[in-house]
Amino acid sequence: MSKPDRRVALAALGVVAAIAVIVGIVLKSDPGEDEQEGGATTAREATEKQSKTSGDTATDTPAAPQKPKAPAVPTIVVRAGEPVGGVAELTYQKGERARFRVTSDSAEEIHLHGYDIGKDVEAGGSVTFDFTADLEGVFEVELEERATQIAALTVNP
Amino acid sequence: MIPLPSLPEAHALVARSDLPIPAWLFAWAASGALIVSFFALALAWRRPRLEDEHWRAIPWRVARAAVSLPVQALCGAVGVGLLAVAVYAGLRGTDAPERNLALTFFFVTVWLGFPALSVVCGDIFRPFNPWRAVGRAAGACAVELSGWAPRHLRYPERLGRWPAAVGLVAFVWLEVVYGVGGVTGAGLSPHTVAVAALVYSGYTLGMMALFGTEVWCARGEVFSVYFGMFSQLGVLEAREGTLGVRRPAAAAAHWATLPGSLAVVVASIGTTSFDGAQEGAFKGGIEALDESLLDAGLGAVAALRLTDTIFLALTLAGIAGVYLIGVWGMRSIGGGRSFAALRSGFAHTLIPIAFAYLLAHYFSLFFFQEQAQFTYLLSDPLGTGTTDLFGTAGGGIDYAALSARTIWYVQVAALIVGHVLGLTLAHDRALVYWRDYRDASRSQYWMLAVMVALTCFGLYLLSVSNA
Repeated sequence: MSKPDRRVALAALGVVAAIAVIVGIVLKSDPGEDEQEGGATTAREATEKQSKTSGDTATDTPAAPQKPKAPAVPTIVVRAGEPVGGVAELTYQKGERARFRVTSDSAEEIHLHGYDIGKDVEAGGSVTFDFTADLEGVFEVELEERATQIAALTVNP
Repeated sequence: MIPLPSLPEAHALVARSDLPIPAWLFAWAASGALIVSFFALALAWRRPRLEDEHWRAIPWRVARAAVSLPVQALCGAVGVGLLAVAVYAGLRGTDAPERNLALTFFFVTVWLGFPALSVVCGDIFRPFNPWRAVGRAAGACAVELSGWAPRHLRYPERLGRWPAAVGLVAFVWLEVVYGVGGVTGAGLSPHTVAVAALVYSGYTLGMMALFGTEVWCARGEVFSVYFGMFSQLGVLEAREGTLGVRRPAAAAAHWATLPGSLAVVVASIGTTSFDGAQEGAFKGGIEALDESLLDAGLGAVAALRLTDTIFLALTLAGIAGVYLIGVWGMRSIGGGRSFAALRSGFAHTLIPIAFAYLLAHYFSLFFFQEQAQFTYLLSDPLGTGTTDLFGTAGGGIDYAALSARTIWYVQVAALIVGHVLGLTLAHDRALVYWRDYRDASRSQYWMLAVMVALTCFGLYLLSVSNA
């Protein structure tokens, strides 16, 4: 490869590299994707997504408790076989104690996949899941009979 | 109570999805791809090395035995048997997709397993191909019984591998669009899959009868063409009645000579991308279009299927577009090659990218789902809960067996290795097309841009939250 050619190549690659770095920075500034080694953050133990219109689910947002002593337990409200406010997003660190509650106006079997925990809820009742988040990944919480997803449980390493 | 190994209806089989790769890893990987590209340009060789496969027979007796007729017949019988079992399970077994052998067998074990096996072992689907086995047996019987050699229609060569490309998209469409997640009752049932398999069998055997078994396998039979494409990357190949070794990836250089080959490899990358983006990068767009279609009066299932179909088509067009821009750029270097010649001349350089995409997107799914395949699905293929053929019906999937980090590293490594292999193949081909080394290098800035774009797109898909 001759000298001028190599310069052109370097210039072209420099441009591409710059673009890649910019994309990287943009992505890095995304919320909730920072690398936080070691410091197990319980702050965003549970965040509820408000994708759709009705926003009446976020009954309890935890206010960054230092210890998992009495963190507010997020509640997923199921009405007519659908999660109110869309599929809820629950986020935990690996090894953390995970708790969430499901209330439903109809009798349902609630199933947390992967962890394979199933609980029945009566019509108008509620049921609480309480376990250690020791499997990494994104897992679905479903109304088993309807095959309707009500929450996505994210466990970060 | 037996612990029910479980997967949801939604998206056919996925109970667990990967965590998005974190931004720092994305940045490292993208930079890594670029640095590697620098080295590729600096160290690149000046004479084509991958144009000749340098195939040599393996001198051991076992190499000849491995491709002997009895072994081929046995493999064919196994293939037919497994197809029959899976179809039977789909028709007679439980409706729960995750408890029925059919879905996992077709969409995970075969569809994701054979590309990897083909790279390692050569075109191993060929002997196991149930339709080819039936076609050959039928042909042999016809000759034996009547002395009448079947006469076939001449295959319209202009069609090339287009039937396979269309079939490939149709197969993935069935899995990720028709079996849409999230809408009750729209999931892909084992029964539907079994019926689809029967319809496809009928179609394939009919085409084989018309055009000849081997002709159709090389051009129209989706699975032969698709898995065969990946086998081009490997070193093992059966030829002249024995097994031999060849230069890695060299066979790929002559794979794309049939028309429609580019469509096959683009279909592979595009469908994998769409599946990865469906619940991540494209989620917002899909929801928006879905809602406007709902407003336009379509039913919930129809609206989502139409939306997904449109996005799948856009993804395919996007991947093809990126590649064609690269070809268009190369054309500007001159050298007298037509656009069409360059377009097919570099199509094979996308095969490693296609394989990297597959690995990156499905590695963990395959790893987890095969645990089901070889425990409860094997012992209780119908999912009735009453049979336990091999004593493994009580088994389940150990989701702790792979950590999120391991999965991330495999994903990133796959994309970068695929990137390097793609660059290598493209560089080698450029040396053939542009005798002048400098022109060849200049043409490759364009392919480099294509490869970097596809690699970064792949990384981007992995980095977008799919929750």
